[in-house]
Amino acid sequence: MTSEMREPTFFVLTALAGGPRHGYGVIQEVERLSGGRTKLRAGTLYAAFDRLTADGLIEVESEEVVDGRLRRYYRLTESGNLTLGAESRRRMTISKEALRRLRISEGFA
Amino acid sequence: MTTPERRYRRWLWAYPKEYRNVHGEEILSTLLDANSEGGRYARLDFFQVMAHGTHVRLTLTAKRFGRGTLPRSVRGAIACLLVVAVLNLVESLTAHKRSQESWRSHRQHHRGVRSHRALRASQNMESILLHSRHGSAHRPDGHELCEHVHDE
Repeated sequence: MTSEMREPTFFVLTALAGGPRHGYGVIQEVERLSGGRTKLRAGTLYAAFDRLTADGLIEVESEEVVDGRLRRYYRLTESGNLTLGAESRRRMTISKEALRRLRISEGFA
Repeated sequence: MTTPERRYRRWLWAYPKEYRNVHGEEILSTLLDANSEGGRYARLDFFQVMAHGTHVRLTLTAKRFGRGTLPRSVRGAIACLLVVAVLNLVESLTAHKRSQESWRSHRQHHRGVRSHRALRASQNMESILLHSRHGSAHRPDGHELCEHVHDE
C-alpha cells in the first residue's frame, strides 16, 4: 500500500481484524461497521480481495462447504496487521486534528 | 439447481477459466448469500461481476503478453467500455420483439418528424433568400427571423 488507502479497503481490513471471515461475512461486517453506508457487492469485494492478496495483506485461512456452498475464509497477514495499524493511526491523527480545529475535542480525545 | 444459482453461474463466465476455477464457487456462494433476502441489488451485482471479470481478463491478458499490467485507470476505462458494449449487444439480442417493434415505429415516426423539419427548414431558407433579395427578412409563417440582416 503505497498510496492512500480507500475507504472500502479500510473497511475490509477492519472487518478481518476481528478474525477470519468469508465473503458474505465481510460484506455484513462492513455494512455494520459503516452504519449501513457501505454495502459491498460480490464484484467489488473480490476485486478488493484480489488486490489485498496480491499486496500480501490478506490470505486464505480455511475453506468449508455449508449446504453445498463453498466458503473461503480470509484473514489478515502480519503485513496486513501492520498496514491497518498504520492507516488507523494516520486517520486518528487527522481526525483529532480536525476536532481540535473545530474546538470540540473535549470528550473525544 | 435453483434459478438464481443458474443465473449467477452464467454470470461467472465473465471470469477467465483460470480465475473461475479458483474463485468461482466462493463468488457464487457470496452472491447467493447476499441476495438471499431479496434480489433488490441483483442488477448492481451483475454490473460489478461483469466489470470485475473484465478487469481480471485484462490483467491476465496483460501478464500473458509480458508487458506488465496496464495502469489501473486504463484497465478500468477499458473494462467500462467493454461492459457497456456487451450490455448493448445483449440488450439488442434479447429485446422483446414487441418492444423492438414499438421502438422501430417510434424511430420511424421520429425520422419522419426530422425529415419534415428539415424540409421546412430548407423551404424557409429558400424563402428567406428569395425575400432577402427584396430587402425583407420575414419568414413566410409570419415570424420575424432577424431584423437587421439583408438590408441591401
